Amino acid sequence: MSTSFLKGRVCLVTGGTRGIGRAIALHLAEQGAKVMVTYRGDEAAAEETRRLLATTGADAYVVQSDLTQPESVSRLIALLKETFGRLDSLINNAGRTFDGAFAALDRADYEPVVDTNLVGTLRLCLAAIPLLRESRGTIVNLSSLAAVSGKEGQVVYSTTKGGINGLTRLLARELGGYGIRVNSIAPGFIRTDMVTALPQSTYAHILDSTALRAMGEPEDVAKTAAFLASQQSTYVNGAVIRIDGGFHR
Amino acid sequence: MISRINVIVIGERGTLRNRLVEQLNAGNFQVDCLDETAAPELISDRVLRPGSPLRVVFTPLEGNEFRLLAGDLETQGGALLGHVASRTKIFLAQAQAALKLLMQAGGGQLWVCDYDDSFSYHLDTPACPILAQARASAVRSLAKEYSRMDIAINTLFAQPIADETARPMFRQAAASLKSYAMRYKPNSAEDIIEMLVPFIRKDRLAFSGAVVGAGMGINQGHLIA
Repeated sequence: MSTSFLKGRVCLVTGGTRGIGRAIALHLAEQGAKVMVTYRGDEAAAEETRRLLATTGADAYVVQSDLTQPESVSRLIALLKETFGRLDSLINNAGRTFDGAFAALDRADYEPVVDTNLVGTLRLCLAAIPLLRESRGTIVNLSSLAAVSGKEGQVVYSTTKGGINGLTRLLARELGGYGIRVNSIAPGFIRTDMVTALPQSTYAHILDSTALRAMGEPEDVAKTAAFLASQQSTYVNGAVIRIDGGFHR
Repeated sequence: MISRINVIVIGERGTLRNRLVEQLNAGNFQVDCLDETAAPELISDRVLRPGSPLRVVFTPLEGNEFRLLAGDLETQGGALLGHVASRTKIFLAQAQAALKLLMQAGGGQLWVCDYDDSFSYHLDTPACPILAQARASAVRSLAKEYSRMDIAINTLFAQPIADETARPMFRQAAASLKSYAMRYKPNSAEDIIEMLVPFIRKDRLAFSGAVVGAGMGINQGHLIA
């Protein structure tokens, strides 16, 4: 694919100021897209992302939004419409986790994971549909290997990501008639702050369990997100694409 | 000789749940039924029957997310959002409670049953792809976490059943599909339950974290992502 294969396309990336989300936002911008990026509360990460986006020369904005709040989502869509007048691709990357032995977890601690990852994503998808119908756009949902393979200590997170896969299936089927494509990406172990903090023994185990014997990079996910957001993937719909180096544990 | 097996059935009323309860009662199981909104404490605070192996079965969701979405697109309502939020959270809370009870019992089985929606183009039957996939992913993670405690946790994924309401839909679908109709054969609720109950009766399952499919010809790779 040539650079600027996303030229002129308007993309909204949620949770796009750190890790995989930031990599997606930057890659989209480098490929010519106009980008709006959301964050929930980390102002320092937001500022750094603004700085990095500015180096791409892209028409890009970083805005605060809370997907768990209906008013915040409505304001976000209104701002997007006012700023760019359209939406071509929605990339639902925002997510959180609360890990631990499931039977011992407190509902008050893990229910925000449901509210953000699954309910928040669905809320934004529904709000964005009118704009996506106009553009015959795409939705790219960030799921996880945890949904596909399961992960001890991450029951709630994997539940929400499994729900994302089901949401992808539902929306792909129901919105296909409007020309809207909906797909999921299920990343495995990607080199982010969370993963690099793992103990060496765990790190070694992950590499041993991965056919490519390597950790993934955020850019690996970003490239697939850009492909799915673009017109390069016009017949890909309802898919869940694993980006995990061939993880086989 | 195994003591009378205690089965806690959790879920909303529907053909599959009704047939399951009937067969379990006829099969000398001790059956306790709770509905889909049951408070977790009704599960975790139960007094275990000494010597009785324990099973917990979540019966399928009987709603239709396609219909909820269509309604919301038309009215900008929040029916689908509310459904997903509340049913995901109550399932997780009930699953937590069930696990606590199963750990107390020293092991057992947990089953989560749901319907495949691959054939929803032709059948107006229960179909909840968001929640079904969420629950199946929960099972995969739960199995990795709790199988070591002798708790076998699995998903039963059934194609829509041909009960009194659905049978005419199947006939109409077969008529319109013509040659493709040769590919599938719908099951009755009894067929599904007669497959499940022997697993429930077993002292030890040889699988955990599995998606056990029940259907012929329709489940087209939908069981796994």
